[in-house]
Amino acid sequence: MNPLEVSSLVKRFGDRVILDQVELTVGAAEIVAIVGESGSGKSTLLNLIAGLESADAGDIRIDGVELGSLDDDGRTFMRRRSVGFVFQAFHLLPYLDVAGNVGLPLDLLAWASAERAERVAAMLSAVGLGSRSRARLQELSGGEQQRVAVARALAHKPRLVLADEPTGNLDTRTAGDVLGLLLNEIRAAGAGGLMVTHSSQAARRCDRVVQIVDGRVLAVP
Amino acid sequence: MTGSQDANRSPIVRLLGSGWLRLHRVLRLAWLDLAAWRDAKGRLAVAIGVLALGTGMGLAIERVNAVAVAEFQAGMTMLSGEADLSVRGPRSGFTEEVLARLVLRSGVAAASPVVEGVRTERSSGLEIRFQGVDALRAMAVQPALVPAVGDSALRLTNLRTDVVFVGPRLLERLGRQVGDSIELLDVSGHQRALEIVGLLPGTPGLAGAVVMDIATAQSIEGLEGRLTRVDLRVQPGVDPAVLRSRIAADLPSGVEIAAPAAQASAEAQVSRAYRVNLSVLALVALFCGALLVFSAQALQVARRRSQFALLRALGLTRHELLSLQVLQSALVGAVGAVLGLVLAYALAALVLRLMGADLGAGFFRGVAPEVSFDLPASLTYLGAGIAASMAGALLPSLEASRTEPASGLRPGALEAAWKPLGHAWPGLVLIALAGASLAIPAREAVPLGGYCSIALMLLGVVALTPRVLVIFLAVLDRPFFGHQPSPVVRTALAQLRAAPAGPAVSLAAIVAAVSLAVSMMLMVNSFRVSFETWLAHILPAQAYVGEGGLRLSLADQRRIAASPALGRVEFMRIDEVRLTAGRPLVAILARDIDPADPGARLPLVARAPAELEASEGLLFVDSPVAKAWVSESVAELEQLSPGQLVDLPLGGHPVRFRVDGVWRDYGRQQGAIVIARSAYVAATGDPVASNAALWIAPGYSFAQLQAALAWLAPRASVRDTGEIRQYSLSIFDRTFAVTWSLVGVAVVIGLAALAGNLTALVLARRRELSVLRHLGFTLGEVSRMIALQALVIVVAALGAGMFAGTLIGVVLVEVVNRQAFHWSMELHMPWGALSLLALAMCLLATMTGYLGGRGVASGEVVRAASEDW
Amino acid sequence: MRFLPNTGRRLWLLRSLATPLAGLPLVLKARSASAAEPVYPRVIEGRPFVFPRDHGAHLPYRTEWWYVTGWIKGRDRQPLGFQVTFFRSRPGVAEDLAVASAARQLIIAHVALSDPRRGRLLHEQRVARVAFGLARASQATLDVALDDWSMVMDATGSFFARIRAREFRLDLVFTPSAPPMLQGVAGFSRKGPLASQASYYYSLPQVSVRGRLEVPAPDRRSALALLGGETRVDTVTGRAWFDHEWSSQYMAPSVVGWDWVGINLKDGSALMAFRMRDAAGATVWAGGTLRRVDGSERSFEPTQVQFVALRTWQSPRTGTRFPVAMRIDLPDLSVSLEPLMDDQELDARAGVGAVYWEGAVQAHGTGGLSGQGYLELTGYAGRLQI
Repeated sequence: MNPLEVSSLVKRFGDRVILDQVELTVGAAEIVAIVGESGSGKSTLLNLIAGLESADAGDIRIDGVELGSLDDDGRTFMRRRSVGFVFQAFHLLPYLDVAGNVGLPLDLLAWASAERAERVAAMLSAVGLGSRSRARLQELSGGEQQRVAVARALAHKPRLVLADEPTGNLDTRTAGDVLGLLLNEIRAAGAGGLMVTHSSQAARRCDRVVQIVDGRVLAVP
Repeated sequence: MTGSQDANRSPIVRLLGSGWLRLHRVLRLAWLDLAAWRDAKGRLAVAIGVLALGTGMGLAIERVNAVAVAEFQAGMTMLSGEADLSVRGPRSGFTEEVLARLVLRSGVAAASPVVEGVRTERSSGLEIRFQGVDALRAMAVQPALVPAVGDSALRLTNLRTDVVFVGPRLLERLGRQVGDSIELLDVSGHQRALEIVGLLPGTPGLAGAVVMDIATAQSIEGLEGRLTRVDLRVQPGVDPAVLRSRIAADLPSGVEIAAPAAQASAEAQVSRAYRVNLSVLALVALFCGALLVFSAQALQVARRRSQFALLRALGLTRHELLSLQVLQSALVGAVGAVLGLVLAYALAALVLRLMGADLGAGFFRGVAPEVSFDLPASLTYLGAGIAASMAGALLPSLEASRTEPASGLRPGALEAAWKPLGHAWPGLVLIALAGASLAIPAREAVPLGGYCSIALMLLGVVALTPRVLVIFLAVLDRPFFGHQPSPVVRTALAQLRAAPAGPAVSLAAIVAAVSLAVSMMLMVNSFRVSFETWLAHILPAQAYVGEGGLRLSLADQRRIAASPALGRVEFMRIDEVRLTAGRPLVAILARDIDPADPGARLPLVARAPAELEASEGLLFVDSPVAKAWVSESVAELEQLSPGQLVDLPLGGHPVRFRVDGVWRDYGRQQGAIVIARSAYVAATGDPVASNAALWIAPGYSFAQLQAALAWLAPRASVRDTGEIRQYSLSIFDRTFAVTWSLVGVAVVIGLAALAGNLTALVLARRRELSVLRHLGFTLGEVSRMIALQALVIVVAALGAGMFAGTLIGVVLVEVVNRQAFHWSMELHMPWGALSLLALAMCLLATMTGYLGGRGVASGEVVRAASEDW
Repeated sequence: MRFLPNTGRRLWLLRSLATPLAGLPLVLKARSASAAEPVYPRVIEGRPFVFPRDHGAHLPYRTEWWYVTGWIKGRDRQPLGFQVTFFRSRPGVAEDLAVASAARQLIIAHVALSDPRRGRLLHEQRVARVAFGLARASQATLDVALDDWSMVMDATGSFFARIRAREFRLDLVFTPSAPPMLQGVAGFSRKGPLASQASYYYSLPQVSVRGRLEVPAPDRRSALALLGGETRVDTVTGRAWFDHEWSSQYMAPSVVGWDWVGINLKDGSALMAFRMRDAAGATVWAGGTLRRVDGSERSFEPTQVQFVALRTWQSPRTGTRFPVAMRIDLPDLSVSLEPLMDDQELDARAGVGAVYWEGAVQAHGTGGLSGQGYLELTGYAGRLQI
């Protein structure tokens, strides 16, 4: 079952059609990059897939489950279980330490504490922050914060990871490191990945690139 | 142009030139910057509203008191006219011989005798305070009291015994005209119809007065052959002070002489403590307003830190940024204070209409003034409102001005900025000072120490609030019965623990409001419970007879006692005497009381030791000194304690009594002294009684007793004790209506502050809530989390507020009331009302949090996380 | 309805009493019947006089006065005129209340001192109700008082007046030289065309006076001078005229004022004459009595008494013209009166409400008669009633 299947998706804002009959599939261990001009609907597509906005028509299936058939709580549980997020601005919770942030998705899924601790430690060492689990966010650099975000996105073994300009706030070198880490982790977990990016360099490191033009998704060769 | 460039110029150029430019620029910026408050409208509105309330209530109380006291004093001085000196006796007056001696004394140019009285007007039910004058003698001293009717040089109309002159305002209140009558019930129970034949001048003090012939007043009050006052004009060239002391030496005991103005202020003094008390409470409201401005501004500053950084980067000096903030808060204060002024005058007019000039406390009977605009007072309170707002904004504004241009938004900047608030020592020092200041003695019945202590206590608790929250959170940070709390709870607490500054800042106003409400509730409740207990003690009989000014002759007393429906009767005579010149009259209650067991009739708080009595018995075998029981206020004011001797001016002579005990009297703030009626009759030869306590004989009903004593009508009626008790309690409640309304205001402030600040806090956390939603928190979970946080905050606030409120309440009961009113009471926690308050605040907090969280997390959640910082 | 009394002289007092009463009916309408006008006893002819009882007050009557006027001299032998009067009035306004202090009886007292060197009167008046032990009028003998002013007769028939005015002090002892001179018909004195317009009236002429006068130096008029020690204490002696008159009834409405004179003649005889004037100055009623040295008395009929103005004086203060010098023509006798000084006007509008002239006069009569007395001129400052 593919982590993500989008078919005939339509989204309008008033009279304006943002997304028009979008078809998109992301397979397991596949990472798709979405590129497009500002305002082309990239972020809207991501929000729809995350279940944070509702579509006007069409289907979105995550791990085979049709989102349209779920209410808000159902979509939230779906997100909690099957989706991981990486934001441009990291969006870590400042009042939690590194381990707390990574462990939060596990808490939501009520993991037993021993397994949770083990998983958090594994994730942190995977992103190279194994020694800093008790650190506070203020002590971390931007790159380190985004690594924590990557660890949080994958901690609960999601089927799909959504990333919105994950390297937009980072310098080029750090950006390369973090992107590599993100892609590796998604692939290693066998999840699907969908990444909105402006950077053609980043897009190239994905398995596939699609472009949104006039609300339609076109494959970029 | 920057500040540093300015600094290079000469001070004068700076002052004249760029000083204005700078001010102009800052004003302009302040105006533009106001737009930033747009999304803080709610908080701003609450702050403005509370400032308006504080200013409004303060000024309203000030105005009502000012006009009441002015009217009261004008009444006393205007009624004395051009008198240089005024001789005043007790309520029962002094003999007319005193007047004769005064008239014939050298140095006295003119003397005008007066008989003052108070009676209820029959059809209007108004209490009428009247002056009986001798028109012919008054013309030389108080010509205003002798209005000309027709063309009468001898004022013959004024000499008639069936007429009155009424002030225009009272006439309007009575709804009568010249030519109509007023009807007063005299001491012997007869209705006396008096024709209104003329108007007194409409000047302050006279506009509400009633003047009649002195003979009429004597017969209505049963004071034939007696006077209550003589106003004197001193001959030119004679020193009034010298004459005064000479006359004073010659006056009967209990009669004083002083300048009318001095006496007026002495009488007005009685109500001062009450007035100061209310004004202080209004100031507390203003203080709450300042705290609300503080929290609004603090949150605003925290939210706009990056904007300030930008402004600094664009070239605004630190000083200018501070001015900007302070100016804005001044503007907020001005808006609130102007609203407050409008509110004040409306409120004052309403209060005067509904409760009377004494705010329901009964000090200024018969005075019915109107609100007048007063510029200095209005400006003072306007200034106070603005100052409160600026003071509230000062700390956050200083913090804002410290913003470094480059320091955009580092996470936790708010926490760093408010770190000083987390210290416990300033609050602890303030509270320690609060305790110490209780040692400051009262001045002229104004408990300075008590008020000081309350102010310091409030400040201290407010300063301690962040610390309290932190401690409270630490206490919460442990597993419940071994259970790991849910992620919702843990996240909620983790968030609060990591960033307590925001909530702590908004807590201040809530804590202050809760403290105020709790302390007032505690005081009023203690008073009310004590009052009820006191009533039960002071009214032991089943029924009473005794309308104001009733006189029961010996024959009446025998006839009452002979009634078979009566099991037991105790008569009481009420008189008023002056113990010390310059002090108000003290009530003498001559009762049928068992000297060996006064506790059966009086709520004693202190008693002379029994051994003393025994030894006294040996010492004074021949002339045993009668016992007197003084009320707490007499004990305080006259420095009397059990065992001491006191001379009471009875029948114009000092009569020696031994203070046997001190009793609690809530009935007469000026003080009361109980003596045995036999002692009173022995001293005065006057066996008339003013009221009777009745016990129904076994087998008889109240109705039968009533019927048996029906012959007393219309002089008096038999009233059921329960009814009297009910009536007394309703008077009590009316008296404390103002206090209760202040409690109400405090609660409203607390709730408004709570709701406003929670909403603000939730709004400030939009992004974070959005992230939680992304991570898979359901809408319900986010809302519950916020609700839980709100609950935690409010529980902390309630805890701190109730703690402080209880302490303040104890200060109010044990210090302020004792010093201001000289009465003691037992502490009674108003558990019911407190639980209700706590419940209401918890519910409101939870609901506001839940709904606020829901609103934010559902609508804006998507965009928030995607927005750039 | 007008309440002008017909009791002859001292009308100014009654006027002040009458005016408010004139306003009363308006008020009375609204009052209960119990507060009605009191019943005053009528003055009737043939009432026997009993002394000292009749020296005392006759409280039921509406009006009563004790009036002493006279000439005195101090150590400097300069003549001074004086007037001490106690009026009693029962205004009928507080009759229904049985309280001692009710204003059922009023005492009005008036003193004046005429000193030619001062050129004007020193005078003072007081009003008080009979109450508080300060104002009294005994019914047993002459004993009236108002605060520290009093006039009291002792058992021998002598009486004293004690006056503590703002500007002067008087302590005078009066010793009558002859029994009372009953005016009119045995003390029944007609004052108008109706028999009811009358009073009980007797006089004590030729009363010798001695006593003490404290008065500020003439050039110092202020009360401060009195207090400051610039006071002259003088022993005085002289001759006085005492009147006592009471009545209840009213006089003719046409009367606006009257002229009255009482003269102690040098030879020991005494003359009293009066006339009631209407608005035109014509005499409505007149009367008089001459007591000769031998004690015999002659009463004059209204037509036998003529008052002729010799000289008028206009008051600079009120503008009123008074005929201060007069000639009185009687059968077989004519007496000219010349004032001790012209300005003996009393402006009492602020108090009892009248302007009148009351002054010491020197009398010269036909047949070499001469004497000293007092002249009273009322109703010249316009009509006494409004």
